[in-house]
Amino acid sequence: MPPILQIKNLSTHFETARGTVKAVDGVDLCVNEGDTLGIAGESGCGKTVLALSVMRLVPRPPGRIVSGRILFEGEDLLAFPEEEMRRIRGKRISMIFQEPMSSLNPVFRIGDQVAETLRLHEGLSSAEAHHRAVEMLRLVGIPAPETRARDYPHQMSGGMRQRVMIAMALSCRPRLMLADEPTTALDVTIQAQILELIQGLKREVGTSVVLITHDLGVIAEAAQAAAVMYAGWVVEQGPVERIFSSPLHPYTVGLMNSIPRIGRRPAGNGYLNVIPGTIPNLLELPSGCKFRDRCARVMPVCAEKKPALLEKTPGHSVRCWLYV
Amino acid sequence: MADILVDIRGLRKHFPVKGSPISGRKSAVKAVDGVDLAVYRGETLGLVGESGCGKTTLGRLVVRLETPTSGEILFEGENILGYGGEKLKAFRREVQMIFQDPYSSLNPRRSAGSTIGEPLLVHGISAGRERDEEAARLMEKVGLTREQMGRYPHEFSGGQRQRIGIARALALRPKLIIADEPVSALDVSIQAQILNLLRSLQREFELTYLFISHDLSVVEHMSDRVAVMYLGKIVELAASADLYNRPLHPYTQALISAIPVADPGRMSRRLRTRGDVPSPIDPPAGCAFHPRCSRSSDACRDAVPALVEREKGHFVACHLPG
Ligand SMILES: Nc1ncnc2c1ncn2[C@@H]1O[C@H](COP(=O)(O)OP(=O)(O)OP(=O)(O)O)[C@@H](O)[C@H]1O
Ligand SMILES: Nc1ncnc2c1ncn2[C@@H]1O[C@H](COP(=O)(O)OP(=O)(O)OP(=O)(O)O)[C@@H](O)[C@H]1O
Ligand SMILES: [Mg+2]
Ligand SMILES: [Mg+2]
Repeated sequence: MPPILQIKNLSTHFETARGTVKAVDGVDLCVNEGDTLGIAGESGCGKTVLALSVMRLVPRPPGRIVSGRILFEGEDLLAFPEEEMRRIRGKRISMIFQEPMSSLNPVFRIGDQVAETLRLHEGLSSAEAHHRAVEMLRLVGIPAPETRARDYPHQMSGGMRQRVMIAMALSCRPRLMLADEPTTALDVTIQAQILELIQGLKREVGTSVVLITHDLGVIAEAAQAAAVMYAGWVVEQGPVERIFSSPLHPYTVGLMNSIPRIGRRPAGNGYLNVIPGTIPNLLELPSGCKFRDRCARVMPVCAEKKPALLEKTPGHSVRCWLYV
Repeated sequence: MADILVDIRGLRKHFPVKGSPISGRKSAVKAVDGVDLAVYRGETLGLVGESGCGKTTLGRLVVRLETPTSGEILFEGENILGYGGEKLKAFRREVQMIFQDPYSSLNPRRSAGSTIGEPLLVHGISAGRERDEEAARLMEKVGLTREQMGRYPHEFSGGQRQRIGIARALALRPKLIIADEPVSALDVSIQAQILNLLRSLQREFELTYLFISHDLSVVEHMSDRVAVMYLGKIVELAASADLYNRPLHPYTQALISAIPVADPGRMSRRLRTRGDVPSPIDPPAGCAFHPRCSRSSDACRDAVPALVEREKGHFVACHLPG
């Protein structure tokens, strides 16, 4: 089966007073039909901008997609006129935004907001749309959905608002869903409910999912494939078992070692392994490999040339001079 | 018997809220609602629980940023609630707090050096050159450089700001540090750096930590003992290994089973909790967890369970534990 989403050499830049921020800097990525791809990486590495690029919602100015192709079911989204994109958004591709409160309209009842999406994209009548909206709210586990549909966003808890966002994102049975930190603001028990919900709906509707999170545990549980981003690059991508059991990139290895794991205290002195230093300022990137100044296995070539993302074993790619 | 540094007894903090416009009845958010808890000298006591369960309020009560509705807090055997004037000032040297948000907890118009040295000045410990020297030493202790002393908060990353907050908390050589979600706002790689720093400082300065977090993996990593809070009450308390290996309260069991495990081979067997966290204004009668519990009985709806010692050092507040 061909991949549902294929991103090729995508770059999205922001022009700021202090220079050009290369938020997404030549990214290659692939999502197989029916899979969940988890994207991990430190704050500011470009995860949200990548998702916004796929939706063609990067604020412009200051942002601009400067190069690349985004193939969705084989067609390049970047070649579509805005008109066409508007029909795709919310219907064939939908997004759950990082901030649920800011993406729900505070002055409309939540049932009406879900129904509105359905009227717009599915051409349902008001009554039908309302009926389907209530069904969607029931599906995402909102108790007494007929009553709660009349609530305004502020009358719901954070977990419930997040579920409303998911109901909206799934109401038109999209082919692809981009979920940007859908559970980060939530407690573990509610987070678990939401992840199960996404899994269940995925099975029922057959949607492929891009799941953005900096919580590696969430990716291990919910995704089949994983990509790790660093300063605008994808530095490693592969099947989730491979990424966790035999990570290749020194950054991925460092991330895996720095998570505290229950029941496995680090031996000896009890200290966690750490990656020294911090993420580089995107305006003052080092030459060559962006990770080299924090890398324990740095070599002379790393300062000279940028490594390319290369496939090491089928489906498992890494962007590092160690593997060339 | 280990030496008790802080002894919290029957502590309550109720925030009044506007009465209902219909009934006119006054009500209150029972943020902390009858907590008994001892913190031993030199230990790290972890405090976990869902958002809004009262963790921060409990921490703020212990450092006296908040006045309790009732109950007492003994520090080295003395009730701190009676303190005023010089005694209170002396107490404030002994107990410090590290805050959750490294972005808003620093004054943007103060340089790092001045932020860290401020407590020394306020408490009349040192001034001038001597104070600057101490601030520089503290900066180096937490992994910053003395050259960075003149920089302002916006010139530091989140992890670096958290280091400044830690250096400020250390300045007065406190005995107890309340660390309120000290790494929640940070990325995993930076989080690991800060956790290691807190651990090494604890060894060097013989610190006692009350370590607040909603991240159960982080708490397990850091703590000797762990207390689990639910709607203003401690529902379980045990040595870290006991709590994670044999949780007795159904809420703790659900929390632990809900932790995403960074190990794709090991799919977790997840216990379900139903519904959302109830309101602390109008908590359910009896055991506050019963509407979400998988094994609630009549007793759970009628009577509040007391926190009792079921196994050595392992306390649980549940009618049907295990
Ligand atoms: N509107 C904008 N103007 C200028 N720079 C921007 C803008 N939006 C994003 N950026 C920059 O692009 C980079 C990537 O940001 P992005 O929001 O994609 O990060 P992220 O990986 O989603 O981080 P987080 O985990 O914190 O959500 C950052 O350096 C950010 O400062
Ligand atoms: N000053 C206040 N006035 C009124 N209510 C308050 C006040 N401070 C806290 N509360 C309420 O008390 C309860 C406990 O809050 P607290 O901040 O202690 O929770 P927490 O466990 O630290 O949560 P989080 O994990 O979200 O930080 C909440 O319902 C909160 O809304
Ligand atoms: Mg983001
Ligand atoms: Mg708090």
